[in-house]
This record gives sequence, structure tokens and C-alpha cells, in this order.
Amino acid sequence: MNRNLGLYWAFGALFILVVSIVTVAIYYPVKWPTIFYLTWVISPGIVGGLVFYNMDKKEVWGK
Amino acid sequence: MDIYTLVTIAFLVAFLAIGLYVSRKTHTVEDHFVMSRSASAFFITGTLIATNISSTGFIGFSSTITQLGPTRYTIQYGATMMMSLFLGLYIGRFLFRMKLMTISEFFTKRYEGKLVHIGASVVIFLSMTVYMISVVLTSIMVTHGLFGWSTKISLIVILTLLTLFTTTGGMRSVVVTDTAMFIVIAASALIIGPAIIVALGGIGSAVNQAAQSIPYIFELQGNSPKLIGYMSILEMNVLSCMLVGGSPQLISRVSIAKSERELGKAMVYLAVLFPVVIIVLLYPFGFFPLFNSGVEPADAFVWTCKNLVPPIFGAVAIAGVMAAALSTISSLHQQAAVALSSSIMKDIFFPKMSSSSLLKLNRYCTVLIALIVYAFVSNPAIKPSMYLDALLFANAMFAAWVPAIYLGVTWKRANTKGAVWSIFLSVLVIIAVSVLRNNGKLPIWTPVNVIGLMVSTTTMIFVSLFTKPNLDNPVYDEIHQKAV
Repeated sequence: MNRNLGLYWAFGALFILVVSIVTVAIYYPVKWPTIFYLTWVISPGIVGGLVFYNMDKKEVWGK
Repeated sequence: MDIYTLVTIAFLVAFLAIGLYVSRKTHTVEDHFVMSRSASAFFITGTLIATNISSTGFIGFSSTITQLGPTRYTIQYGATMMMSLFLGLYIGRFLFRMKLMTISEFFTKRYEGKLVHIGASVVIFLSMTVYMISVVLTSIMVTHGLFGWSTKISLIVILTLLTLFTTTGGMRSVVVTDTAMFIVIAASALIIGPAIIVALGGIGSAVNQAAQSIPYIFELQGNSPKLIGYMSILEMNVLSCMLVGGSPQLISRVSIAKSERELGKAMVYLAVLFPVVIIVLLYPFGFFPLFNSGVEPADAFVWTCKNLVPPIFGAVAIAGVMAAALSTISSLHQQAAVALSSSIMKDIFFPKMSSSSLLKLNRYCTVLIALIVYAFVSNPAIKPSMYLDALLFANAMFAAWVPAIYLGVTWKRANTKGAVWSIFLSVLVIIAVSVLRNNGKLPIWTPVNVIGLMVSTTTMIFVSLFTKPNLDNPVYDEIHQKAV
């Protein structure tokens, strides 16, 4: 069982978010609505990965 | 027969073959309803994404995004991810510990008396059937646009195919074929969305052209007035929460997991992968008006498949739409049949029915539901454009029972009277508000599901607080004992 799995997925989501935001920042004439949109849609992956990592570390899973 | 038809039929045959092959392992009621609780995170993720996208996601949303802008309807997937995580990492663990065979069984185990069980079962059956009608309506748009099939022929092909593998393989067939379909759907997303941007000369060129002629695509509300746009965003986000947290076809996936950790892992995979599929697939349709192609928004997806990518890729993408439609319909079909056979007919009328008879009854119910859907959709008064109304109504119905589930597992004081009043009162309010909105008596932006959720939640809390609590609840204690 890989106990760092949640951390890897959180970093994956963070990478996707950063790339998307940089793309919008470079090309879009109106940036903030799209940056808010991307953050709202992608950031749950970061939160979920970190929470899962924490739960794995604390071994909270029922038998 | 052109390449699009050939490839789509080849995929449909492959999905049917997979479903029937997997069905060899289905022998018991537990196999049929919850695939013997053996699903890994990969299968749970696959079935959740495939079921969640549906043809409504492909055809309905690509059409709406083409007209209104890209963010207004896809922003709801943020709420989808949040709710998925809440379900998988918190609430779902309690439901998993209850070892449920059907979602209605939760009400039998957690609350006393039959009334709450009947209310929940009827809500499940009605919402699943109306939701199935919504997805079948969008599937017919695809088969009509693609093959030129009439409504009746489309219905016969779709419903026969689904009834065949849902009756034989149950949940196991649905989950395994869903996962195969998810792979095709992901491939479609990676082909079609980027093709629009590439055809417009890359992201820089597409954005420059959009800034000149369709600047509204950079705003959250799209080309609608701010009030309508923001209320719609609110309604769609609540809709997503209800869909993930309250719809039986998605919440039932909690019971198929082989462990709590696998369930949590699946939701993390989902929260990272699903936004990528959605953004890559749907967001580029916001730029579609730049082509000035003259095609109807409803045909934008099929037009892109046929004109912007090589035929074989376009054919795979169209097969992906059919896959999305079939995977969602099969899940809805399976859940509606389970609600009718097990939760309504067996539990209420024939409680002593044997497992083998229940399995048989479930198969008859699957056929019966296919006939009900056929009768509704083939009615000339039902138009394909009504898909969104049906989707919103079915979804609003989930709001009726969500508090009874969520408060039931987290709040010991939640009691039977609260659950009964919450479900019945909010169903009445949801039906009344839907009718008034559709008749123009209430503004079109009135969010039915938000109102339904507010009524059901406040009723559940107030009635539970002001009536006698049942604090000696062994099920509640048992599922909480194992939590750390």
C-alpha cells in the first residue's frame, strides 16, 4: 500500500491548475473569471489528495 | 453505411459482448445488486465518470456552451468534485459500513416504520425513470443526427440493448462496461475539444478572434444577463451536489467498493481526472461560434466530429457519445429496477420473497421500466428539447431525501418523523415549483432544487428537534464505533 498516493495525486492536480492558470494569464484579455473558474473546478483534486494522504497517515479506514 | 455508423455499431457490439461476458460471474442477488462488493478504485472511478457525463454532457452541454459560453454550465463540476470527495472520504464510509444492498435499505435500517422507506423508494423510482427519459431524449438526438433513425427505431435499439445486459449481468455488467466506456469517452474528449482550438489556429489565435466577436465567453455568466447567469450557476452547482450526493445511480457505488480506502482512493482519482476530461472536452465549444458554420448548436458536437478531425477519430468520438449515453442509462435502468423490485414490491408487498424470486422479479421490472420509458419518449407531445426540464426535475427530487441520508448518518437526533415530513413535504414543494416555473408563474431562474433542498433540510431539522428522539439507535452507534 502506497501511503504517499494522495500526495502524488494532489501534486498532479496542482500541476494541472498552474499550467491552466499560466495559459489564461498569457492569452486571455479578461483573466479573473476564467482563473476563478479553473480554480473552482480543479482545486478539489488538490484538497482531496491532501485529505486522503492525511487519512492514510492516520490509518482511519474501518476494517 | 459510412465509417461513423460502422465504428459506432462495432463499439456497441463490443460493449454488449463485454457486458454479457462479465455476466457469467453473476449468480446471486448480491452479485446482481452490488457486484459482491468487489470493485477496485479503478472500476469505481470508471463507472462514476461514465455515468456522470452521459449524452447530456456531450450533446446537451456542448450545444448549450456553444450558445451561452463555456463556463456557465461547466463550472458546476467544481461542486461535483467537492461533493464526490465529501461522499467518498466522509459520508460514504458510514454508508459503506451499513452493507447496503439498495439505497432504500438505508431508510429501513436507520429509521423505524415503513412510511419513510416507501417515500424514499418512490422518490428513487420516479427520479430514476424521469432521469432515464432525459438521457434517452438526448441519445435520440444523436442517433437521429448520426444515422437518421426515427424516434421509435432509436428507442427500440437503445432500450433492447440495455435491457439485455442489465437483466443478465446486473451491477457487475454495468460497472465493467461503464469502465470500458469511460476509456472511449476519455479518448473522445482528448480528440474533439482540442480539434476546435487547433482548427482556429491555436489558443492565442482563438482567444484573439473571440475577443473581437464573442467576448462574452470570458465572463462567468456567458452571454446572459448577470442575474440569470449567476442564478443558473448557483442552480447548476447545487444540481451537481445533489447529483453526486443524492442520486441513487452514483451513491449506490459506495456499496460496490471492496474497502473504505478503495472508495476514498476512487474519489481522489475522480477529483483529479474528471475536471481534465470536462475542460478538455467541453470548454472549447465556447469558441465554436467562430466557425460561422451555420449548424444548429445541438449539432455542434457531431459537426466537429465529421469536419475537424480525420474520420476514424471522429467515428471513435461519436462512439464515445453513445457510450456515455448507454452507460448512464444502464445505471439509471438498474437502479430504477432495484427500487421497483426490491424496495417497493418485495419490501412492501412480498417481504417473504426468496432470493431467486427477487432476481427474477428484478429482471421483469427492468423490462417493465424499458416499456414505460418507451411509452413516454415515443409520445409525440414529448420533445427532445425537454431533456433539460426532465433532468432538472429528476435532480430536484434528489433534494427531497438527501437530508434524511446525510443527517441520518451524522446526527443522532435525526428521527423517523423528521425524515417522513422532510421527504413528503419537499416532494410536494418541488412538484409545485416546477409546474409554476414551467407555466411562467415563477421566473425562469427560480432554482427548484435549491428550494427543494432548503425545504427538506429545514423540515428535517425542525421536526427532529421538536419531536421525541430515538437515541437508542444500534445502527447509528455501530457505524460510528468504527470511526476513529
